[in-house]
Amino acid sequence: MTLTQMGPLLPIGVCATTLLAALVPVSADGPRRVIQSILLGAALVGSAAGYVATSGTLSSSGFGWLTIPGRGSAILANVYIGPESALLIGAIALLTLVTRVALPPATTRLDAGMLFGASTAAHVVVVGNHLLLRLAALEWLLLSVLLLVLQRRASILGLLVAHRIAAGALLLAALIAGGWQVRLFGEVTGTDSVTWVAGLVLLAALALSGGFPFHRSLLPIVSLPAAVRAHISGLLLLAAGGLVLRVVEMGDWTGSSTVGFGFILPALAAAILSLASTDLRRAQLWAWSSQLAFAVALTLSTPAVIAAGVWVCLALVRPAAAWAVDVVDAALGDTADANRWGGLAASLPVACWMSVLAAVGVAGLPPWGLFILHGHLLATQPPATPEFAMLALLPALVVVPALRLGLWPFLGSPRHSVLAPQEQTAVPSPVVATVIFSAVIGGLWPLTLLLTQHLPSTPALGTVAALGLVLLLVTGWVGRRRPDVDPELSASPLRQFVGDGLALSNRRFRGVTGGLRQLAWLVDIVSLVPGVLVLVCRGVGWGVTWVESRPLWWAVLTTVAMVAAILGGRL
Amino acid sequence: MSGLDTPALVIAVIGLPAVAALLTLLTSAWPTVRRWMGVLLALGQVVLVLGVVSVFDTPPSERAAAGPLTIAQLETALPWMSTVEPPTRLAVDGLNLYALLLLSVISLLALLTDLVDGPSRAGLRQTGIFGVSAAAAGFLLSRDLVLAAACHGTTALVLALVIHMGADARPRRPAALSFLVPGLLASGCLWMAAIWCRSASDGLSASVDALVINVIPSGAVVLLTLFLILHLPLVPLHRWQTHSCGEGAAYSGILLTGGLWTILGVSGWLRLGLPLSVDLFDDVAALLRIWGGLSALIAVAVAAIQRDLGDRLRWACVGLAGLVAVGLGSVDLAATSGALLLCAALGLPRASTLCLVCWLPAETGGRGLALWWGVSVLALTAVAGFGGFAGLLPLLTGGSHAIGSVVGSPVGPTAWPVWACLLASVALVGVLLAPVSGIAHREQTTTMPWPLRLGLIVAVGVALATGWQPAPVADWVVSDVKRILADAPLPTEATHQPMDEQPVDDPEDAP
Repeated sequence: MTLTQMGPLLPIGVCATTLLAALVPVSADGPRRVIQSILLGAALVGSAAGYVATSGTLSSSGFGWLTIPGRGSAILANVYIGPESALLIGAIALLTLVTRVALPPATTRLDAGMLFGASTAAHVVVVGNHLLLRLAALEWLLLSVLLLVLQRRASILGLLVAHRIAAGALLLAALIAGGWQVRLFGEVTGTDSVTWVAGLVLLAALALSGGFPFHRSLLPIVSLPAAVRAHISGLLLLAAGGLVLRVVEMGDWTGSSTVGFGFILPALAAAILSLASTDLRRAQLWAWSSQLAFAVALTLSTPAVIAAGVWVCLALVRPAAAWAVDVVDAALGDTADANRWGGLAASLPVACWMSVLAAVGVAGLPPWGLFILHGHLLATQPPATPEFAMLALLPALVVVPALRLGLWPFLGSPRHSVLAPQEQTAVPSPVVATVIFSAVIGGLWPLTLLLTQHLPSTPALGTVAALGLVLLLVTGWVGRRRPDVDPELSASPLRQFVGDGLALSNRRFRGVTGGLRQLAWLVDIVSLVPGVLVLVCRGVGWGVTWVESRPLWWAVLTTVAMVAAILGGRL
Repeated sequence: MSGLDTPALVIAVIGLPAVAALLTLLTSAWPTVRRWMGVLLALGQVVLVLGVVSVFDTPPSERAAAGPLTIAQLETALPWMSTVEPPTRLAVDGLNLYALLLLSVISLLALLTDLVDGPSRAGLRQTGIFGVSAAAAGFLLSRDLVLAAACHGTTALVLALVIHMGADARPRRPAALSFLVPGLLASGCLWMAAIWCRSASDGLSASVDALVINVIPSGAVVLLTLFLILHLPLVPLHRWQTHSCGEGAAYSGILLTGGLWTILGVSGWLRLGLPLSVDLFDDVAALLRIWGGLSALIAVAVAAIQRDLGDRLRWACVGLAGLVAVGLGSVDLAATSGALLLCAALGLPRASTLCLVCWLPAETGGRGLALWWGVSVLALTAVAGFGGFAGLLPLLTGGSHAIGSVVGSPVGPTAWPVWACLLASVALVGVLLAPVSGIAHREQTTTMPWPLRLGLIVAVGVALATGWQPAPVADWVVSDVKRILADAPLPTEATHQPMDEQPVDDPEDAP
């Protein structure tokens, strides 16, 4: 059997190996860690071999899974592998290995098992052929995420609502794809059907990975350790990427950049929230939410292989970014809000390197991959057109929050007196090596992909370079000086809702600060809609519960009335 | 061994638990002997039913049964009340086979779980478990309405007795009574329908094979429909579900009620009630669809606000029953088969989860328990990859077809029950997973008893196995459902034909 023929089998092997790592029945921590590392390393090698072996798209034979009586043969449970999905499962394998190295020794077997179980489920979400197979894996992924979040005491209602919306949208999409639309949506054409399915899958991707307006679903993970936080968010991002890439492959999206532009709004809203937040971890979560919408928009506008590189890049830089944020948070203790950021580069050089690498990887500064990708985007548009301007500004929605988070805590005059003891901020060397390796691979991967395709035109590259440098300078200049602490910023509960407000260094910017805070508050109101719907349902439930608690004759009367109404209405 | 010449197996499926009940009474003075003998006999019952499964002819050859009836296999005559009635026929068909398998497994688990309730009156409970098993097997195998009503009444009485004999410290009476009243009411409905149908057919026989060729009175159809609704349960006739599986009931009683009672009603109605309801099929179907959809929505809303975990779970079970009702009322091969498969697949997870909740002390928790709860919820709510989904998917797919064909337009104003099912099935997962936070953050002060753990393992294992290989079970069901629906007065054939040919496994259809 040649490597090419083994292509579809390798992802199955990667899934199986990752699952084995999740189920290692060794209770001692040391041996278990070694066995899991070996298995996950094998999975990474297998995924790399799969990527090399995959040329074109292939499907495995699989087995007959679900039958719908009277509707033909059974739905097959098999894998569908293409260059994009091969790349994504490689990223999942690398992310899992990084997480294994970075997990603290006190991590329980149950937690490690659930982390790697979630990785297995994410693999299947990416390579499953039928949408229902992906849905089955997604349910396990969501359960694992839920249980991992419960390491810390947190409210999971938002997470649950978003996850059920994602699962419901996928189920409905699968039903429509199976021919349901003829009865429930009227006489629709095949194109309409594809549009419905695509729209629902995009909705599922947004809800799954915390895109605006579902961004508050990510809040429960904010208090988790860096390794777990990065792993969960990275897996959800890659799973969403797998779904979106398959949707793009399913339909003809040539010239559909207008659809992609629709996702600029969620990216913009999340970016505003990130900029307005002074809580370091929340600001990072909203930045990740913005990155998701950006990646979706990009996927709908660029070739799939290149878009897959974006998803991989955004996921692989997350361990470094999360570790850096945790270190800064630990160093500053209770004063870690944006008013206190700055001057930590000399005190925390390792964290500074990790943070800068992650920020630059996402920001797309030369020669990092996203820089080239922005150039590639611009190269498809004629200069001096509205589309060109919009595409040139689109990356700013990702770049500005990333640079703010990555650079601000470390710029400015050195500070030592406010820091926590070094043992609380130290990062083990293996962790540093692996997360930096992951960030470098992630950052450079789109560049590698683009070099194998073609390079964009020089004007586009120049525009991107100029824009990136300007943004870098602005970020550095704004974040260089630290403001005085303004007690007014933490007074209002409404402000607490979106964080304490953006801190800028100069009183001249005070108007900008206030305006942005109000804007962020208005934007975040949209995210209350799912919660309001849940409240309405609860109100209805209370009413029915009261009726149900009445004596038995109520039940008899209600039954008679219901039967009479149903049958009477039919006459 | 031929699949059609071993009728003694059918008698043994009823006889073995009946003998076991008798032996349990005789050996009640020696608890260890009684317990081991019970386990061995329950295992023997499982083996016996597996034997029936192995000789079952799938797909069935054309046999004597004609018209809209299930195809009887392993037929045998039972000379019961032979001076009044002709010999009653017992038989296996595609609609009771899964239920028989479920009955044997749940009986075994009930015996093991009974240890949790302690030694007090354990002999009586064990006798009751075997009694329920024998009577329920008689009901499932019977093709005679009078015999079915008798077996059903016996099952209800004995099961109420088992529920009543819970631990002394808990209030027991309300749970048993809450179950007994609607249980006996359902038996009464079946019995009255049997007598009515028999008198309407010149008193020749109460066998469904004989009755199906006659005109059935409308009142009998109403009684048969009420029999089904009392079993499902639908709001507002749901109280047996929300009360009888709660505080004060014996664990074995909860397991038997949660696992068996709904499938007894659904399987019984499909085999005995539906073929006799042809003349009023349209009204019955509409009633089930609309009532089921409303009930599912109401139950989900109520479940969402329950603070007590048990109440939340029991209301969720009411919501799932609404889904089954919509499937049964859709009168479509896919939807009706799906409803039966869903109902059967939910039996084990529902029984084991109800027991878990009944045991779970308010102060105990931990992440291990949270994991068990989460997995059980996935199995119970029929998410993709578990056995219930193999029924839910055809139910949703077929339900929309049937509704469209009934109203004569593609979208139709009555399509909402299917939307209600979709919404309820998705929301129920969230409603049941929400309390996992509370469970996870409690200290683990008590270890879960091994019978409960075993029940959960078996339930999840079976749900996963049937979730990934549902085809053999579906094959049992489909041919008989098709046969029953052949004479349905709905315009199914003409409207469905183009859609029936549409393949669903085309990789290009799915993203």
